[in-house]
Amino acid sequence: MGYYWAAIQKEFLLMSRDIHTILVLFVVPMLFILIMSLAMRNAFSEQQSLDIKALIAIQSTSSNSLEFEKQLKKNNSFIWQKVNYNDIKEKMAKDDVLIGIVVNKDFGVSTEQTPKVTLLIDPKITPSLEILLKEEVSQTIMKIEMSDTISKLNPWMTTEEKQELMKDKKLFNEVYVGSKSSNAKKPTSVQQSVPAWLIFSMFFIIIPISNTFINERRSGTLSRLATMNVTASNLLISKALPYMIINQIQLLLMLLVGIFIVPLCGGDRLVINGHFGLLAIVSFVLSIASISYALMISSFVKTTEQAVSIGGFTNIIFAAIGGIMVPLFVMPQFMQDLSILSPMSWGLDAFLGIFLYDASFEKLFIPLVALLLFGLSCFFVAIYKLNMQIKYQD
Amino acid sequence: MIVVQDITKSFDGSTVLDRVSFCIPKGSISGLIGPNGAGKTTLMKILSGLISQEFGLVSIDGDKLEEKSLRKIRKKIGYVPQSTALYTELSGYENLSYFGSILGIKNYLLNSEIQRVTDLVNLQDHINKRVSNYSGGMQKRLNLAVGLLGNPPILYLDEPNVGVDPHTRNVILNVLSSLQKQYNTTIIFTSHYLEEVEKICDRLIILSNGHVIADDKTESLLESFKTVDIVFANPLNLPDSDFNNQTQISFQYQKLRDIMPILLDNLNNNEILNIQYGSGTLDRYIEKLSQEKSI
Repeated sequence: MGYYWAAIQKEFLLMSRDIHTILVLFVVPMLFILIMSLAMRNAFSEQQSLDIKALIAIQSTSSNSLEFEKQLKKNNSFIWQKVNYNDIKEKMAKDDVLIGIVVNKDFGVSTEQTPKVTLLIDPKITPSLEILLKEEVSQTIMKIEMSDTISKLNPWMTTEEKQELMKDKKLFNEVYVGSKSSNAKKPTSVQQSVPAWLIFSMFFIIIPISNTFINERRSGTLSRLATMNVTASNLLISKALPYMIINQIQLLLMLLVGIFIVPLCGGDRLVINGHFGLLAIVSFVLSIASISYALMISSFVKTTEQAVSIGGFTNIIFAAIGGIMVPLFVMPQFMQDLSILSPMSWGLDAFLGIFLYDASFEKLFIPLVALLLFGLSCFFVAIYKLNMQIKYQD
Repeated sequence: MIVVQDITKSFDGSTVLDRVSFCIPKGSISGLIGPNGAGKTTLMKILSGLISQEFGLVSIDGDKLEEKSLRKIRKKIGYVPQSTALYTELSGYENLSYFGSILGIKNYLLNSEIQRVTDLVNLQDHINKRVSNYSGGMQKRLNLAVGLLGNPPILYLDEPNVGVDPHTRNVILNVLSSLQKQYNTTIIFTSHYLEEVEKICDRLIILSNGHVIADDKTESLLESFKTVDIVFANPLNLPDSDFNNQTQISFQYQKLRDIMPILLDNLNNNEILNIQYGSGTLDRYIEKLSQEKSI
C-alpha cells in the first residue's frame, strides 16, 4: 500500500504544478457546462421566452388587427417590435431580424379564404422555429375569428361571459416518465450538459496520464522503477488510482457548477432525480473506462504529441457520435444507431438514467457492464504492452 | 560475487553481446569500458534484470538471476541509469522521498536516509529546489543519490559521468570510493573515459563489439596500455620487420625488452633522436586488441 500511497502523492504534486492540466481537467469543462447550459436553455424550456426578435407591420385599420398584435405579444416565443409596412423588409435586413409579419389590409374585414397575414421569413431560420411561428400565428388568428363568431351567434353575451368562454383551458397533463413524482419538472438543459461535459472531461484525463507516462518512459524512470521491483500492473494501478480520485473531484465540481453557478448566471438549477449511490457507482465505472483507455493509448504511442492527437481525436469522435456534443434525440436514426460504438454514449445513458429518470441499478446494468468490459479490456492490453516494453526495453 | 558466464544477447538479428564472461569480486569497483555500441548498457540491463539474455547465466552472491529470484536479487541492487531518471517538476527531496517509499523504506527512517544520501552527493543546499532548476551536474548527482537509497550492497552505474563538469565528476568518483570503503559496496560502472576508471577501479573489463577483449586488474591493464615512441635520424633497415624503412616507430612498453636489442643491433650509422614514453589511449588499445583477437 505504501507504494500506491507514494504514487498518489507524486501524481497529485505533478498535477498541481501543471497549470495546463488543471485547465483541461477542471476549468474548461466547468466553462463548457456553464456555456452549454445557458445556450441550450431555451431548447429545453417552455417557460421562458426564446428572446428572438421579430417585426410586425399593420396595414389593416380594423380593431381585430390591434387585437391580433396584442394576442401575439402575449406569447413568450418572440419579442415583437412594431414598424411601418414600408420599412419592414429594409429593417429586417439592416437589423438582421429573421422574422417579420405584415397584417394585411383586409384582416378582420373580409371573411373570404384569403391570407390574413404575410409572413416574412429569412431562409436562415430553423424548421422548428418556422413551425412554431406558423403555429402561433394560426392560433392567434383562430382565437380572434372564434371570438367574432361567438359575438355574432350570441349577441346577448356579456364581455365577461365571452372572456370566460375564450379562456385558455388545460387540455392535457404532462407527466415526465421515470421522474420521482408526478410533480417533477421537465428536464432542463443543465441536466443534459452536466453529464455530457463531465464524461467528456473524464475522458480527457488522457492528456495528463500520457504526459507523465511518456515522460517517465523517455527519461528512464519506468526502467528505474522496474529495477525497484515495480511490476507493469503495479505501475498501471498506481497511475489509475490518483486519476480515479481526480475523476471524482471532477464529478463533484461539475455538480457544484450545475447546482450553484449556472443558476447564478440565469440558467436552471441542476436537479438530480436519481440515487447518489448509483451516481457514485456510474462515476467509478466510467472512471475505470476513461483511465484504462488513456493508459492503453499511452502505452502504444511514443510521444506526448502522438498521445494528444490520437487521444484528442478519438475523444472528439466518441463525443460526436455519443451524443455529448449534440443530444442523440436530434440525430437521424442511423447516427443514433452508431452511438452504440462510443463508450461516452454508454456513460451518458447511465448518467441520464440517474439525472433524469431515477433509474434503478437493473436499468443501468447494461451500460455499466459495457463500460466495465471496455475498461478492463483496455487495462489488460496496456499491461501486456507495458510488459513487452519492459521485457524488450522498447 | 557477481559471476557472468557466456552471456549472449541479440536485437533484431544482430548480436550485441557474444559469450561474455567475467567475475566481479565482492566489495570491488569494476569499470566496464568500451566504445559506443560495445554492449555496455545492454549488459547493465541484463545484470539488473531489466532484460533477459538468450544464453548464459548471471549469478549474484550465489543466486541465479532468473524470474523466480528476481525480486530477491533486485533488493540488493541500486541502479543508476545513464539518463537522469527523475521527475523534474518535483524537488530533489520529493524525488528521493518517492523513490524511497517505492523501495519500502519506512516513513520514520526516510528523512534520515534522504539526509544521508544528499550529504554523500553534496546536495544539501539544493534539496528543496525543483529538479528543473538544477544544473546538469546537480541532476546527475541526484540521479546517483536515488541509486544510493537503502544503501544497496551492489551498485550499477551506467555512464554516470557523461556530459558532466570536472567538479561533478570528482564528486561522483569520490562517492563511489567512499561507498567501497565505508560499506564494502560492490560497484560496476560503465564508461568510455579511461582516465576516470583508472582513478578508482580495482579491475577493468573492456568490451568491444559485444566481446570481452580484456579483463584484468587495473594496474596490469594500464601497464599494457603504455607505449614507447622512438624517432631515428635515418630510415631503419629491417627487411623482416614492420619497422623497415620507418624513421619513427611506436610499440607497447611491455615489448620494449624484446624489441630494443633488435633495434640496437641494426642501427648501422643511424642514430636515435628521441625516445618518448606514452600512456596510450583506450581507442588505440581496443583497436589493437580487436585486431589481435580478430573481432
